[in-house]
Amino acid sequence: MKRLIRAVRALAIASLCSLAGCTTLGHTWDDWFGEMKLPDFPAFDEYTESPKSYVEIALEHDFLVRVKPWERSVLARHDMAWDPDELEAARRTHTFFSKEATMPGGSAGGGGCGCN
Amino acid sequence: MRRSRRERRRERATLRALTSSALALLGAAGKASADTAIDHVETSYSFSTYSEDKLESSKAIPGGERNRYSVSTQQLSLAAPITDWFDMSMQLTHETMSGASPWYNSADAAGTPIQIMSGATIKDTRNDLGVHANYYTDNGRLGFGGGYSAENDYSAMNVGTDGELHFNEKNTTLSGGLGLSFDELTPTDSDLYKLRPTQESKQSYSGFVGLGQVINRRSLIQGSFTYNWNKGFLSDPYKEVFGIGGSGQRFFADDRGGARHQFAFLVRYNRHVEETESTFHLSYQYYIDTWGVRSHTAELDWYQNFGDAIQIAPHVRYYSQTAADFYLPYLRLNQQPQHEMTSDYRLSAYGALSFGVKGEYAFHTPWFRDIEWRANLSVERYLSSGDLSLKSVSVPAPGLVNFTVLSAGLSVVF
Amino acid sequence: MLGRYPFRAMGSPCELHLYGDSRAEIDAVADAAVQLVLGLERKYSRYRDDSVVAAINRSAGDLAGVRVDDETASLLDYADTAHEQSDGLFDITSGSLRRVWNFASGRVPSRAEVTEALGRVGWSRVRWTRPRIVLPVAGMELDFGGFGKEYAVDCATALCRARGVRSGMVDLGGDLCAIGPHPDGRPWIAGIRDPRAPERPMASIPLFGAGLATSGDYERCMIVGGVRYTHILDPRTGWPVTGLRSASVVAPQCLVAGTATTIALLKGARGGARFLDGLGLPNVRMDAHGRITGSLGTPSTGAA
Repeated sequence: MKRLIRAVRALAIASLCSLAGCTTLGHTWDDWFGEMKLPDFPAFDEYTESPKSYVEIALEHDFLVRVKPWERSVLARHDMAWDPDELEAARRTHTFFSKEATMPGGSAGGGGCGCN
Repeated sequence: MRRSRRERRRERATLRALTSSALALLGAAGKASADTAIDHVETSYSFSTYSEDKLESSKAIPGGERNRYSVSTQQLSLAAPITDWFDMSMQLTHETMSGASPWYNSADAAGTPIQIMSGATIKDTRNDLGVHANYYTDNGRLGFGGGYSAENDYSAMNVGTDGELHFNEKNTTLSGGLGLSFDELTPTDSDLYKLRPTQESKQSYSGFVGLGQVINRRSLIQGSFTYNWNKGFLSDPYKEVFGIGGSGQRFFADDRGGARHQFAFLVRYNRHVEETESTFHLSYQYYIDTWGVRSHTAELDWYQNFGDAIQIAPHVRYYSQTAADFYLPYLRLNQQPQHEMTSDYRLSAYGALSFGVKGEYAFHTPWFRDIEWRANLSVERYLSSGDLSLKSVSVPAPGLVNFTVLSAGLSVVF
Repeated sequence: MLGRYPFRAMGSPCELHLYGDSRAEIDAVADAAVQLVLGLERKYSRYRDDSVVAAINRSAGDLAGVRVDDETASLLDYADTAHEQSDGLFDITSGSLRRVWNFASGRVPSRAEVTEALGRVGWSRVRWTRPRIVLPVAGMELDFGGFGKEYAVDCATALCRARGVRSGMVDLGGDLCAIGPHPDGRPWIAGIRDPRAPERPMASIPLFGAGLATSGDYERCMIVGGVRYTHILDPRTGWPVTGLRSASVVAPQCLVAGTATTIALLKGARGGARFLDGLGLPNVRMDAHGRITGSLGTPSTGAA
């Protein structure tokens, strides 16, 4: 129980730090939420076609459409990918995984080894 | 007007050529914003050497083994499209490892733990093959993968599935995956060492879910949660816990119990700075597990571009972890031996700082198709110690390691 | 029910005519189609700093060139095909000639100026190896204006058809495509403007599901010293072509129709007429003397 409280506290501090960090890096409140207006939720029975529709209700909002397809030239840059060099990322993750107690986040499974 | 047969044939050919080119174009346009398989073949090769610093003399017994581990790794990857909506990739790794590794901790006259190393091992080799296939739809991707890794005392097989769903015109991405891994250990020399098991197995089940969002034309953010459940033989068969007491000394097997639940929370942020032609990546992960280990990992990578050809990317990573509940440098025999015990420095409390730089040179050759090449060279230095930890560590493990990695690679895109 | 959606794009008045079961349904399709057209304009407009064309033009003189996406690569492949099929008359690099031919100033450039400007023109000079394009000479520029609007018409038509609209028409400043005839089977009637008398159509063309494009030399011209100079410049010589006053072609793709009219006007009076006759597509054209010819040109083939 104590561990859970510590985890939640640490998570809260981490989120606040990232938010503060992103804000100081030049994003103001306006950048994130300037054009936000509450979406009009549709009549419930219109959206009971499939489970995917429920996810869509939760995730689809006008203010989240922040760039149009023709504005993606910078986002498509090689160095804007999460792992620009996949081989290097795999190798570094494997090295840190064998020398530290932590598992890497963001993916499931992956190769094991008897590293010591 | 009379026209020759050649002229008429030429004019029909013109209409045909224009029409087929227009149809190809209009076909391509429809897929402009949908997810498609990669449209080129990519292959990469990399070679790297990993070498650990010698154990400091203050942390070893006089005259004892101080050389540590070194590994040389070669990786090869290949990815190719099969159809517009299906692609496959493969990754091969070949590693040769040699050197001594930590065995157990003893105590010097003052009671400070010192690291005892195993005798230098014969060269060991690890081979790893992974394959992955992706299937694309209008607004998402579904992937399947598997792999097999083998060394002379360890083999592991893994399968997994992962996928993404896009929303808000590909501004929001929901990702997730599930994976399983089955490992088998047959430790060497188990007949020589009484405490060493002859054959054991371990299973891992993991899953993750992530949400990514485009913030604006030049920045992205992603948050993810990963869970992993390990069961089976989770201890290190080559490590032991040393017990010292008035009545003498005794060795105990490294025992970490039969289950471990791990949780990791990761946030990543990428931003491109147009004024300086650079991109930076920032990430932070918080990790907690049922062995009592909690850790923080923060990393900053800065990609500085000089024109289209040259990129210099320095990076720094900070890591800090707490010790596992059952970590002890050595056991005092007047204490009750716990059911679970380990002296593995990797489960002790410490902090680590690593920094490195990678240089990349990109060029292209206009052969049958425009071929893009990237050559890179990188170096990384990793330092760990009790002093670097966020919370002060009273007795840092003597086996904490510093290492250097040098690597060179080449990738080709057809 | 019929919905009409006027809007402005690519410097021209545009309109969508869509038939559908409900207002909401066709409103959604019209909105998507308008967004698509505006998006293409933003992506390929020479006048916008953030467009793909502007990025390519900025790289002129840099031998490393620019790597382009799939859609742009296919457009460049089409321009390449059209250049080859027209013996070099259809040339998307000819836009830089406008720097010496400034119709607003009313000044005719000297031979030397035109020859110098020609040094920066020529698709054959451009190194196009998919997916990388290199403009080797500084000052060279690409202009998608000659086929961008027709391409947008075809994309919008495809989008409407994909969304289930079976009757309608897309009109982007005179370049049209019929999505399908009126629900009662009547075709859409497009009137071709008479260059000498803009209020009176010189031909009325029925469209059931095809595209129609028109090129004319009357859009921009100047009369200096009694000689009429039009904006139709031959990319091989750098000088205006005197030929057909106007040409209109019907083809399943508006893109192909537009390429045909552009080439026809560049081939001169007799060459253009021969070209259109040989192509085998329904067409109507007016020559410098005001004569109307072509398979759609006789009054009896006019209004349905």
